[in-house]
Amino acid sequence: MNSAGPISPSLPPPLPEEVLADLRRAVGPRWVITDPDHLLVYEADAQTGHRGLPQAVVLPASTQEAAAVFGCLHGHGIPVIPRGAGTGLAGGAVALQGGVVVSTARMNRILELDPDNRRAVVQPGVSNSRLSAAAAAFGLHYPPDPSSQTACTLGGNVATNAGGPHCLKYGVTGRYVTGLKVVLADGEVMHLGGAGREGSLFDFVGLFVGSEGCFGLAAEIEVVLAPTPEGACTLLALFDTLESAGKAVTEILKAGLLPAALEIVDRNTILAVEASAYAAGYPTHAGAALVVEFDGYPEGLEEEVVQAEERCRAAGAWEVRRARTPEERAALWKGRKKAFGAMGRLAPDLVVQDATVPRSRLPEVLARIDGIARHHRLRIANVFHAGDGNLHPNIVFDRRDADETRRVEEAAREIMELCVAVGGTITGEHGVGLEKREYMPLVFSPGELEVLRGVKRVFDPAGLCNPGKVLPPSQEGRGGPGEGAPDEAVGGGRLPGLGGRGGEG
Amino acid sequence: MGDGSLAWEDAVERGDLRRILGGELSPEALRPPGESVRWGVAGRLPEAVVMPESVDEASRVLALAHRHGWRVHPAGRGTWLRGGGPRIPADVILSTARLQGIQDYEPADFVASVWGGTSLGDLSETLAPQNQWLPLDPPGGRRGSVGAMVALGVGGGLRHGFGGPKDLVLGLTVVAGDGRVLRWGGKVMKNVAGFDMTRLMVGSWGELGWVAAVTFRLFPSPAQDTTLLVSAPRAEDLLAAVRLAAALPVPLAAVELLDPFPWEPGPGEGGAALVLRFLGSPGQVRATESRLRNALPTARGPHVPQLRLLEGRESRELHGVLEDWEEGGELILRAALLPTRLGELLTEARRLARLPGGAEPPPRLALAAHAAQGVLRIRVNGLPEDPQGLGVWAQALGEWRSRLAQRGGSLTAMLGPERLFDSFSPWEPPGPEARLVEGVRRLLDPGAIFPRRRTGA
Repeated sequence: MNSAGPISPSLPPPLPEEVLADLRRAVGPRWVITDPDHLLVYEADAQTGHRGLPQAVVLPASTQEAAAVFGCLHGHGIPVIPRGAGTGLAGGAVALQGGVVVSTARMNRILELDPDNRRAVVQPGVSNSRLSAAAAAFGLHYPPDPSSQTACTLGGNVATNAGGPHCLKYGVTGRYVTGLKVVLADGEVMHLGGAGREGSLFDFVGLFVGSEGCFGLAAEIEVVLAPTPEGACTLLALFDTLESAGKAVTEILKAGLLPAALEIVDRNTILAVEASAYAAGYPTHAGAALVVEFDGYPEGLEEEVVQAEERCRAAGAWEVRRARTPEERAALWKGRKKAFGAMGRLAPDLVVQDATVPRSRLPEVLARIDGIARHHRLRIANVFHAGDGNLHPNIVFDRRDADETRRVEEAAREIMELCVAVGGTITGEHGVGLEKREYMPLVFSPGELEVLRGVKRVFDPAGLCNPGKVLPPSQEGRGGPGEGAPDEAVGGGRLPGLGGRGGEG
Repeated sequence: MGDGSLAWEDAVERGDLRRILGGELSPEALRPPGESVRWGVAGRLPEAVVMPESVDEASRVLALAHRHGWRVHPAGRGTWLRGGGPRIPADVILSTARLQGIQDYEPADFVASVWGGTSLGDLSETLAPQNQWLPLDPPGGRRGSVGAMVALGVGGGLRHGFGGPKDLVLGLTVVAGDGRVLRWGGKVMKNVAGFDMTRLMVGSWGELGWVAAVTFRLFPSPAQDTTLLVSAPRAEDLLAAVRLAAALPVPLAAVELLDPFPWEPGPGEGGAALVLRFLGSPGQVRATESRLRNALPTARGPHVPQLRLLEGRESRELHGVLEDWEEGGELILRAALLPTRLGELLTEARRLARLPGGAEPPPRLALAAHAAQGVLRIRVNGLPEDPQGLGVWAQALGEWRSRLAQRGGSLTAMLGPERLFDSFSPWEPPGPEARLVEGVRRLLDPGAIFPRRRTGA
């Protein structure tokens, strides 16, 4: 890949005919895609700066078919790249060195919905919001709610251990996955965990969640569902500065309140949203907007809401709006949830960043990010899950401008280094993928990275499952199994995939 | 090593073990031989009990142990040495008893990092003045160390409302079986950098490393702590109430079913009780109580459930008693099935008290369920002494395990007598996962110096 400008990957060599024949036998000829025009759809995920064409795309419909596909590719030593809806923001589903993309698009059935035990078993291609919609009839829902939830799949959620605004109170994907039927790299199908079991020696389910497709494919996913709260109340508090919005968050939590969500958008984001088709009625002179949501029994919400309102005003909010009906709440949320879509107004390209810092460091970190933006003459719009310190500084730019693109790369690295320096980490919910693997040494020692490579080898000794993702190429550059080969190290030396837009957590 | 028989070369080396260790450690770290009496494992005293006062010391001990092939048993305060049924005596007990205290606590972050030997009680005393708490109530409660809790991975009733240790541990410092110091996770609420090694470590029973420090996610102390006791003669009479409580639109903090109910004064007519704990703002707690009071009488059963409300101190006192429920048990079993099958677990557990050819008088059983999760704990006392009587038990447990497995369930012995474990393994064999199990063990304990849970009789 080049470091700037549009990227057009060259066509990888076609698969040997015997492999194609095996794949067609496994899933049916219609579901093996080799036409270069059709392959283009799969060359990137929502972070379009990382691109690579697969040699083929295969769409199995069942665990058995997926196992046959994995087994066949393993037998021929061909890399396999699992892919959900392609809404990922870290390049995790990109075919870096050829190989075959296994799309879960046809594995889209809810296999079991068991309301009495508050659980469901789904195929990985089921979208996040479809599961919640199916569970709604029973007064249940699936709590992790990434902003891309109408599109993103549960398989992708498992791969990245996805979060969302409501994970402040409810926790991320890992808390909800109780069992997995996985297809390992060599095609072996293994059942891990299970809702009625407590006797596993090690929590391989927990380890598999967040493994970004490097261990295999989560072909059947068992999750717990949560009862849907009867009532919810959402507040929108408007502040002059990000700092005072941050202070309100601290005061709300200090008061012993545990909102379901605590989200902040900054002025640049408000401007973008209000200028877009998603205008949510946020005042454009506000320096920051804080969304606070409480849920529970309707009759018990009032006192929490009143307390939160008071804390917001004490911290400097000059207006606090309250929404109780679903329509009013949706309107308040719009400014937050559509923030990414709206940024298209600001510039043609966007880097969606993701990092977590200790919550008490948020004001300082935001001020320093502002400094980084000024230093590099860039425009950064901040959207973040304030309750858990998860930041999304988004840099808008024009990739046709090589100098600006370079400044974006530098700023992105400085932001990551800053977040790590204050005790944070390089990704809170989007994952490492290709986007952040070179930052991994910021948070892991060489010895720890070696253990992570070892764990990858335990699941995938031949290193064929989503190769080159998550783990940085080893320093020795030997490029053993499970590592990116040295010659494809870090996308030709360039920093994060610049460009693309999509949802986020 | 690993088969329990000692080659004489090993014995010579072990004679030197204390001397070698002594050169590596501060004098206080190596406990005098007399003090090791309570640290026996598998019927034998260790050659040395080591209580390092730093991660570095622990790392050097484990590196040495790896080099010499000593068997090292990770421990906290020594209360769980029988757990998991280790068959092989330890050469060295490596305890976190001197690695205690708060490492880092910023109340505004709702995150605390503590050394592995810190007791949960000490931790909660540090948090309380800041109006914060760690919602975990593992067996043994406040006395146990956080390191042991993480190693066992077991929570208590609060797992219903807050998840267990896996969900509240944000980061770990562990020392691997060859002395490598590894830090997993971090000090932030959300972290998906790299594979989730923290989850792998929690509940690994010390097989993959010695837990030196733990970072927890904290919560605001609930403004109100209220418990509703629902009583009936037998646990079975309360299953309808369990289903109702588990289906409430706002999850309770805990849904625990006890038979017999272990607390005086009891809820009313004695026998069994369902303990429903709700925490939170006064408004939500009032709303929960009124929902329960309206709904519970509709939970049909042969007996009208009796209700009693405990608040504040009384509620906390009860939960303290429940944390000690496993104390004094000869055998502690955990059986699990899907929550709707809790009734089957109760019926099948009760059969253990009346095994054909079993002992007279029959062993005494007490039952405690994490009812909304379908997990039943069984505390057994008065197990038969004679091999034949014990054999009947081992066989019955083995058969029950198979029947549970057929229904997707499991049976594990957390604690029990060696003589039983010779014919009933406390853990079930890993099955197809075996290759993963062996893989991670080799990676993190390459010399196999840590004890491994028994998975085959």
